Amino acid sequence: MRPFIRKGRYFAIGVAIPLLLGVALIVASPQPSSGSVSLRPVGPFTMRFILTPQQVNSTQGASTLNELTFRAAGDWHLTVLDGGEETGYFEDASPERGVVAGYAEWNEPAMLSEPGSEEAARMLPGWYLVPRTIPAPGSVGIAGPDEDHELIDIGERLSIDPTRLVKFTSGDEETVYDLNLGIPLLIRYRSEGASRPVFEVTSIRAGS
Amino acid sequence: MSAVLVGAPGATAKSINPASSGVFYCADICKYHQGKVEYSSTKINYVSWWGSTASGSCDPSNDVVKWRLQGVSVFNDYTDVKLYGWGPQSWQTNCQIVYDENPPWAWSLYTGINRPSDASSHYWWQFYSSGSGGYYWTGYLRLDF
Repeated sequence: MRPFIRKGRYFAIGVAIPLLLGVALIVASPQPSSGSVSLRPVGPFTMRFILTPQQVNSTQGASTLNELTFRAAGDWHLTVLDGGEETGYFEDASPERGVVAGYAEWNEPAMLSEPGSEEAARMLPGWYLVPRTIPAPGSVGIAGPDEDHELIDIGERLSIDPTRLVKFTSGDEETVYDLNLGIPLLIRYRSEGASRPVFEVTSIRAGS
Repeated sequence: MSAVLVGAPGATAKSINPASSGVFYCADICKYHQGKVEYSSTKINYVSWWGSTASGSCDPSNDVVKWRLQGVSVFNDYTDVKLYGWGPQSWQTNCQIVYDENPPWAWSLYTGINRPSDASSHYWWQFYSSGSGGYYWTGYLRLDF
């Protein structure tokens, strides 16, 4: 970015501030230029999502409805609300408590990191929130709401401006990303026999 | 067409039983981790696992640069008794992505324990993503047999 040259009070009010606002909007908006977009979860937010695992033969497993309250890496809580026969799986993490994961009926959940450790402080709840890099909007494999109307439907369903959504297609994998929150809202594998997405956000609310 | 291995934490169910030894079930991002159990009618012979990083040319959309098996445990599901446990493994940094049903089972341990009528094997992995300053995340797999 070019350095801003201050030329006086009226310049600042009449030209510089609108210019800076414009630059800020451009930076925050999808760019149809070359390069890539780095995505990482930007909390805080609370979301509910359905997970439907898929085996190598494309057989789909039992779904679970989950709720994740995400404030930052190492500071989140995940609850399995419903589904998945006998699952009750949970993960919990905080810099104070460390990270545990397991099923409620087990007597010894696995301690995956030491309480207060750097590892615990940087723990993410699941693969769906791992930082990723995708091609820039306008690249091959990237579609916006003008090209893919499913993004409009998803935006309406989740009360999200669809212009901040993109769909990334790579092989059999389709992922809809929210560029503002830096997370996927939908992950689908178009393999034979799989009808449901493996990851689908059903509601999301930004803020703590 | 090769199958894509996908899944999610918390989604395994006892109703999904592998039909025979060697069938595995993905409960998390099993693009990058998989496990299996080899057993006879009376013995649980081997627990095996596999893992992978995903950085660079393996999967440019992902920044997983190291991984390890945190632990593996075999439970008697009838009594809830832990029959076997091992871990953690040291951190691994190889870069292998295999999208089919026959990954190289690079790590395998002989257990030699008696096989109960209702048992399960549980795997926990840890991964490290270098993206945005670095993040850890977990993988989990449960096999009922």
